Amino acid sequence: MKDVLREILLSTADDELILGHRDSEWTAFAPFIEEDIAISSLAQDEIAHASVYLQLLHDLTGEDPDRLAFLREPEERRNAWLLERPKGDWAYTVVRHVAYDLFDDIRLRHLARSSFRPLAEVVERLQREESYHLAHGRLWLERLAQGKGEARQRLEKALSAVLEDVPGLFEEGAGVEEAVAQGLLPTRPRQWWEEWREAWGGLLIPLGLGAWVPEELSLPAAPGGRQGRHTDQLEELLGALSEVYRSDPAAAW
Amino acid sequence: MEDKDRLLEFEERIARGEKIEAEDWMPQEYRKQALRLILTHANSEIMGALPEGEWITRAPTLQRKLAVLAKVQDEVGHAQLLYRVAEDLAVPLGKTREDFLADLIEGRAKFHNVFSYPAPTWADVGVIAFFVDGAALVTQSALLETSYGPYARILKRICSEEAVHLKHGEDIVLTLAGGTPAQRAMLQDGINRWWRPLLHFFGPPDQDSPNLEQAKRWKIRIKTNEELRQQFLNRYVPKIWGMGLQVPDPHIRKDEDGVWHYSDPGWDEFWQVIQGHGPLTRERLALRRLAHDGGQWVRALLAGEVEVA
Repeated sequence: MKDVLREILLSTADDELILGHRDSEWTAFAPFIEEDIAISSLAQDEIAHASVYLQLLHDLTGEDPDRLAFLREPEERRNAWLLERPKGDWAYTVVRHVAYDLFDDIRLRHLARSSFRPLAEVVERLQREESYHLAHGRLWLERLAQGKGEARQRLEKALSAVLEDVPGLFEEGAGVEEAVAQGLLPTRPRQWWEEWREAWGGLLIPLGLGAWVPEELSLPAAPGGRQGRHTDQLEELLGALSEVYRSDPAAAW
Repeated sequence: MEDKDRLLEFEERIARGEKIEAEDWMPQEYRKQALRLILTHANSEIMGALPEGEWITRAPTLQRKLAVLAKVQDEVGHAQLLYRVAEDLAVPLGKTREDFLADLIEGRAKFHNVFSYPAPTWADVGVIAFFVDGAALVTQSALLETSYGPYARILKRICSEEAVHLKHGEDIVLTLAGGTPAQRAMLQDGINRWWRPLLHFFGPPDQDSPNLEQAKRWKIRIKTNEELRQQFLNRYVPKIWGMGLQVPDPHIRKDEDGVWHYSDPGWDEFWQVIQGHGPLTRERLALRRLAHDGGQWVRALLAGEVEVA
């Protein structure tokens, strides 16, 4: 059971940690001051959520949350590729966030019914914060959809780039069947696709962006992030993330 | 009313300890000096986000990462508050935040000397939050009594947040001081590098500070540069010694009257830095420009929102 739970907790924690890290790259660099403050709050929420999941894992296996966050090699990371992509421009940041937040919202609703009680309990609190993220993203998406010229081009480019990576969110890691059999995961991630598609379409179609609502879930044939295979972009990110920690993992920082 | 009478009345208000509000009559020179002070502060907050911002992605624990992120976010929030106060004060001059930011990027506006220096190690994050913010808190606390009301009010909030930053910085510094020999060496190196910029931070010796006398008379500023520097030394030198570390000045000492004596910190360097020739002034301004230019299309989109909606 532990191994199966570990996979669930790691994939969720890693999504949050890596996205939080990407969000935090905007701090001091956002398009304007008010948004700088907002994106820094999102970054803090995501990183704090990651540490909640890692703490659950600690309670389960005794592993140190910082060690898990800072010292794991790329092949031990379980985040989807979407989250490790560089921060890109503001349109990419918004679109990625919305696509992910919708996914995360669905994941949290399912995890709230997990037979692993500690997880089901923390999820309720996190749901409230994530709903704020969705509101923020939705507002931005509306603004971007109203744009013309450069803004429109950027939005379309971002939508295409994000959609390429969205299927990877639904990739299933090791032990999914067992997790479902034990009720740790009430449903398989690939079954969340229809819910996501509906939510995504519900946002995009009224904005005249129906062309970017995919029909089928086309999971890539090759393994992706949930199975520990990553892009160089993650390696680069981890180089920064763990630079100081790695200089002396035994020291107190 | 004649300007002469207004000035008399204005100075009487100041003498009675009244606060001046944005819409009140004030001498042009008062407006100019208050605006310069507030804008230097605002610019420093936004430029100050850069050296620490570099370390958000590299902070060595989850808790530190969250703390540095929250701290830099606070600094950006301070800039927002300060630019708003500055905008109100600049109404007769017709200047807005966009103008202030353009002035900053183009090198036409000043920001504190310390943010032109590199922050090459993790220890710098602690040194900045503990010592640099400590120095800022000394000057800002002294400004709580400033005669310009809107500035005094937001300084209250800023100072209370800076006090939290100090705790965060102290925690990093103490962890390194109590850590491995390499961590202690990194901290000592940080203190050595920041020492002179910290002494410079309070400004030149009082006789070389051209605006000080009038700023004090109008209670825009309350204390002299040297008074503030003394206060800082009195608070921080014992802390450095207390950690078993060195103050990088062989002549530092406190005399029987409680006055700190220190070596000449090289004022040429200070003048160079505030005239835009600090070690990283250009690079940091280039980063600020990068952020500003990168966000241009987003701001343009929002500005045209009504039109396209």
